[in-house]
Amino acid sequence: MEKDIAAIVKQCQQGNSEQFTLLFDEYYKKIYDFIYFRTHHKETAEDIVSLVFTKSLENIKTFNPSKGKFSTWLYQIARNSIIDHYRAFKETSNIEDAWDISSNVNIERDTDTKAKLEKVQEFLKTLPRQQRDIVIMRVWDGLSHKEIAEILQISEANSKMSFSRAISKINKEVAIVIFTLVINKLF
Amino acid sequence: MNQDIKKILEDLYQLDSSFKQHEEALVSLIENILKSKPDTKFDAAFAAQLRQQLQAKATVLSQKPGFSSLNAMQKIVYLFAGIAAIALIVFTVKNNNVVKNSTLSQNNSSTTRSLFGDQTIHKVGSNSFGSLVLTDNGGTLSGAGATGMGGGGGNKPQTMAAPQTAPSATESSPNSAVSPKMMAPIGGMGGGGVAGMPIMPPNIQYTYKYAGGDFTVPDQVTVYKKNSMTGSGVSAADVLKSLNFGLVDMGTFSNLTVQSFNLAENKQYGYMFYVDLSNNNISINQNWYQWPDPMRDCQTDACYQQNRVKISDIPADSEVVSIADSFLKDHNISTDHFGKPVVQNQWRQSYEAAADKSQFYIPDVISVVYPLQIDGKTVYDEAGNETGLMVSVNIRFKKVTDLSNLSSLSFDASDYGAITGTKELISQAENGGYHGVINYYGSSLAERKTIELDTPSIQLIAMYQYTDGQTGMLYVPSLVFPIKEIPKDQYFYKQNIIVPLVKGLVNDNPVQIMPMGTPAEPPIMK
Repeated sequence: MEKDIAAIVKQCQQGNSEQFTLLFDEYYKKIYDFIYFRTHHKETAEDIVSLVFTKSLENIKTFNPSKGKFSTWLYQIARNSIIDHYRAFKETSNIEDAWDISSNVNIERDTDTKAKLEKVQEFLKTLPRQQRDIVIMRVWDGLSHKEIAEILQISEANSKMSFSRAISKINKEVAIVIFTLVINKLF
Repeated sequence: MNQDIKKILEDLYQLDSSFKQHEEALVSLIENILKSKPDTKFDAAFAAQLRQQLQAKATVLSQKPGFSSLNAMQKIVYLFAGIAAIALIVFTVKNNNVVKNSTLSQNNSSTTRSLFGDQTIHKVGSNSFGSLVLTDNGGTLSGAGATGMGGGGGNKPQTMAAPQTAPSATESSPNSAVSPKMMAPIGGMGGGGVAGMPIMPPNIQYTYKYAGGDFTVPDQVTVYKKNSMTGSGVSAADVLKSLNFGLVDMGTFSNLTVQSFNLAENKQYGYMFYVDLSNNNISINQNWYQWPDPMRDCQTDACYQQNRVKISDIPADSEVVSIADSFLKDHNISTDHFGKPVVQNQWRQSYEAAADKSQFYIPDVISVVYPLQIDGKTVYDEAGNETGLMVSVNIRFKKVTDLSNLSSLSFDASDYGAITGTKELISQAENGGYHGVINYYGSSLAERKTIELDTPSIQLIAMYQYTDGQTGMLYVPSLVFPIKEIPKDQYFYKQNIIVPLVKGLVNDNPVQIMPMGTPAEPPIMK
């Protein structure tokens, strides 16, 4: 499949842009989900995903296949777009996605998603930004460490190490919660 | 154990074998993270519309000189213009035949004047569209497989010399065809994009309470399915066989059909037309290269601020409708089977709730929906908003930019057994209806509010059905419970609660989410 994708990308770069819809069909759902996991809001995710595919169509000639996969490039555009989106609307410049914002302030979130994330946020938000991103990419987005490394522009070993540290930390937090629950039940 | 979890664990063990001692806890932990993955509310209609717009833009890009041999491209343009003309003729004749056949052979068919010929409703046997039950993702009907949008990506390792430099959002081309501002919202969810508006949503959990009068429902209801011409297309072989325009000899291919084509109006404020012959759809979008855009060359915030739309620029709803009406009239687009136009003003709710209105993005495109009507019933989307012909109006230029959902109105109609117990139906409505509400534990900080529902009417809800890799559109009779008073204190997008009448389409119990930290089988650290 990757070979086919490379061929389609090449056709687009040679001017047959109409082939781009094949790339759209291949990656739309994955990129949309990737954005939603970081915005928690349907309309925002749809706005950003439309921007991502428009930009990738317009800039496809700048994609260099010798430097990585097309999918990785798309994820990079998506990630940059999310960061730009939040930075454009927040007074503080260190906000990169919805995870950086407290769940009860100043940001649109789908109500049910907010509810679903309420508890998992308690754990993921305690992680450094990059570790949290890696956990979400690995577990929710289903990306390999190789792909994560390419998107975040870190080494594969770094991605693996960050993931293991994050899991280790969450594991300890869960253990504390369980311990607390057991203690509460006993007394 | 799930293969994905297994792979994640293998990675961890490779790095640190001591993780193995905690396998049980780790599996539980990863399962919990997976369980907490939110439903991303994938909207196939939005994806389809975005795809169409990108396709139209791609066509423009392909036609730009420099992409390929100009002479060859011109020949292709002439060729497809010819095919398009033939396709339109064949298409019109074909649809007229459908109308005639339908009228002559079906006593129970109704025929009235409409878009591509007349609206036809062709009665077929009971339960002809298969069993209508929800799949586990809650958004599609039986027969669902892949949505056709996913896949790809993959986890195959690849060698990579250096990272790509991906364009950032701020580097967006001035010619962005499908910028968020220009995306017409699907199903009335917004009105030109509402992303990023800082609002202050309090932590409120809504519950629904029926406060309407008595009502009855029939024991059988009619489900409608939109007819498509998938697979038939329009034969272009005769035209193509005689052509060898230098790039490829089309005569060497067989069974050629025309599935779709694009046309462009090359003048200021011109349009692009995408004609999808497989699904009998025409969409019209602005020809971006022919429209001015004051934001296009903005490099500074001052420029952006100077050119952004202000709340005082927003015209009255009546003016927006008047612009849309004129466009339809000028281009002989019939609205015979569409209801009274509704301006999509949901963005105003966010605007009113915004703490800092000066930073609020005021859309420069506002959409008007003409709700589709089939057999006297109004069509709603799954979120409970009226849906149908959508016309987007650019308020800077007071001109229509886009028109979507312009489609032939030929339907098959099949009877299905209905839920008749009003108690059960009310209970489903109070549980949030078709999509339900998420009830969750541990939300002690949430403020609880009750929303009252009024007496329902029977209307139709548009639903995608995925069967054997094909997407179909069904219109399922449903109770539409109006919300008596729409909450103003949060971005609350529902105007009605939808309860489909066909059995099997609503879960009996609302979704229960088990939060992290209180798993059913708590992981125990060894």
